[in-house]
Amino acid sequence: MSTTGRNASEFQGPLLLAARYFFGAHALISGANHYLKLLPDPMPRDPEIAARFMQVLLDTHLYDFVKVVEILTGLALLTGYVMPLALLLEMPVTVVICYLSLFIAPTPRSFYTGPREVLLNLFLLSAYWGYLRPLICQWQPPLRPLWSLWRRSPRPDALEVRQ
Amino acid sequence: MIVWKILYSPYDAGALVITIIAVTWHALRGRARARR
Repeated sequence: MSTTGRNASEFQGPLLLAARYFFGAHALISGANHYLKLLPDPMPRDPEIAARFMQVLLDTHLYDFVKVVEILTGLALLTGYVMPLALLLEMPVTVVICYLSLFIAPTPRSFYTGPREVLLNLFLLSAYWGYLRPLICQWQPPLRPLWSLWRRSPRPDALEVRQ
Repeated sequence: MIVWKILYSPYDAGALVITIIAVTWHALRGRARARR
């Protein structure tokens, strides 16, 4: 990792810290509450299409999977491990939450919470942009399959982001 | 009252408490490091 990256993580500002912990804690509480049932579930039940959508998620157990993703994201953000990966995994969940909140089951509160989730996720992803850039900097990257990596060790500069 | 209803949820309150504790901890740790 470059020196700039190390310094940036050491001196991260309070806004970034607050966003990271708030988003992580919210995801962890939301995910854990699905299994612990300590707080009322904010699942949308109105209009009917939203209730049907949520029921299908529950019946197919996809909702359980979503909550596991939330728990893992929350743990990653609170502990500081694999944060870029966790934020990427969480992105589809937050986009669906935002879409539901704005277009399917809008309420005064959901107009605030839906976009907040996406904005926090995007803000945190932008803080780790250096790690994501290699994923999209080449339109047609050459293959580097997992099953052939054992033959040769990767170049030390393979993960360096080009300046 | 309507503003409170929009802003408040137990999820947000819990997350806010954890955030305040964590950010304070980071600030105190940073200050202790700077002193050393």
